Amino acid sequence: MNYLSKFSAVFLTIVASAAVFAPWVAPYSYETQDTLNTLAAPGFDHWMGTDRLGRDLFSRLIYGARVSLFIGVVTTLLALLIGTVYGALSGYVGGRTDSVMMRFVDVVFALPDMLMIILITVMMGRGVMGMFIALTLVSWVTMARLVRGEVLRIKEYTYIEAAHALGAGDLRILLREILPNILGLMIVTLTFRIPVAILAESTLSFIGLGIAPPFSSWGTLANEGWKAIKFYPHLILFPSIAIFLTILSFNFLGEGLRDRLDPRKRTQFG
Amino acid sequence: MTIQTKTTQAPLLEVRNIKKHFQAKGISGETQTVYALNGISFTLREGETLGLVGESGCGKSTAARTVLRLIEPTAGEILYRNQDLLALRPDKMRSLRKEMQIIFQDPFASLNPRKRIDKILEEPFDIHGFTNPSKIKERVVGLLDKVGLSSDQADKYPHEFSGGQLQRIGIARAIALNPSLIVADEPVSALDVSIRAQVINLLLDLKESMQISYLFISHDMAIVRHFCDRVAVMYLGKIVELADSEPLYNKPQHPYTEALLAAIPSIDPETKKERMKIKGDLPNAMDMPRGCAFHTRCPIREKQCEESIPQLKEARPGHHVACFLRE
Repeated sequence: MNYLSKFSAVFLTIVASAAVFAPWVAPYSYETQDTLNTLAAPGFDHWMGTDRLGRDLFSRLIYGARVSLFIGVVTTLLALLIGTVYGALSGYVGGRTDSVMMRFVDVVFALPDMLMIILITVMMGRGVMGMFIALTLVSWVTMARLVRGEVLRIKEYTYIEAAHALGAGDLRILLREILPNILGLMIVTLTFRIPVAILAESTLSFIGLGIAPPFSSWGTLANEGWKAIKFYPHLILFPSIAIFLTILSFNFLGEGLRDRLDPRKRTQFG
Repeated sequence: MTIQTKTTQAPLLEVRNIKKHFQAKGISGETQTVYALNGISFTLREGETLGLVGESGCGKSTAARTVLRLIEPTAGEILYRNQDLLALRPDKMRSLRKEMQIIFQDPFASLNPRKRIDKILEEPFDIHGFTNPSKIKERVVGLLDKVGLSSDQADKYPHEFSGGQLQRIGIARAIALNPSLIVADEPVSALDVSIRAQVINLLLDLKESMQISYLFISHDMAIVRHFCDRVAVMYLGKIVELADSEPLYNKPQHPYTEALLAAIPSIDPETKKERMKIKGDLPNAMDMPRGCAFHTRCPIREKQCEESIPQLKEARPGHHVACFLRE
């Protein structure tokens, strides 16, 4: 793995552990107000300054990472799971079943993502659950297509025929012969899709459909900060940097993993 | 001598009039039928090696896969030790697969690139319910030894081996469960010429030591002569000639066989080729010629060849040919 992706892995680990251990890591609670110090600039008491209500931005950023990362990672994992099962089944069975299953994917895919997400969150009400369902529903189709394509390609290889000739059942062939071949692609896709979900969460929260205050996510923080961008730029700067660095890190990590997970490339590094 | 006595026994495999027609979609969406196998019949005796030869596209590989029921035939019967494979229940068929294996043409595509060699070789035992891990490990080492690879290569991945080594691993996988029948689908044609003899000799050794019968698919007439007891010549999904190797090579009956043999390069440039030559390509299997399938390219064709289809008949004892002019 190259240094960039190693560095990214370290960075993401730090962000993730900060999110998990937020109550111990954060200097303040996400809702504690320092009323004498509203809209303070970054300093020793408040590393990233405070917002309009005197809440510590650094603490809110750490608590916000909980929501942003959780939604990013869990929705992507769930979408990956659904998409993989659906896509693998469709590609492996093939024929008419495949056509029908893929037409359904096409229909879901044709619906505009943002519109669907907004509709679902409006229906479900603001909060983690609504966003969670909305993001999963729109992103599993991409996974399903990807996995189906790979399964279609791999099932034509002779080693699949060899497995049939040995008497292996369909489930064994899917799990033991085909899945190991797409695992690398799946993990890499995961790292490329997580940022998309984080960004979607941020966007939703930014336009006011995400997490309701006083809870914070990176999107809500950016939303709050944006209103005072002229006079208190730190309020939007730090959340934006957090989003930016996290997404960038996931991308670098994905690239590194892609090379790492291929046994043909692995041995070159010993 | 042991082989000689074995060949007189009952057939291990009997294929009766199998047909395979594929439905193919044309560009304009109409379905066309590809006549890959048009009724082939042969028997393979215990301990025997039967060669199946013919040019590309004549249905050799389809025949190989159909015999093992990797492709379901459209019609016909496949009898293995007097059981009809096509009538077997799926679980019975799966357990019978222990006894019939296949070696593929492309060693690079026939081994899963993501699996270590020992995992690939443990798979057959795992599928058929062997549960003792140390016994399986022992068997894997034994297999590698049998095909001439050392056991310290077991933890490598397929891309770390050469084509010849990979084909040995493919053979090891095929013999793992002590099969009686191995279908070898062009097992050496993807290999370097220098490696071919080694792999052929390995197959011959295994035939002796494990009493394996081979159905050997090839387009290399020279290797088939060296390797096979009997040879079946295929043309457009039919067997046109079937005989013991020596009579077939020395006195070919069918004009197509003659032409195939004439195509073998000779070591002596002075030898004038007086044997048959044919021109043109194999006709399209979607649009079969009427009458004898070979008549479009046959240098000795007559009127009746264009109208009726010659059947495979015994021209001499043990020598079958499908040609009106050579009956």
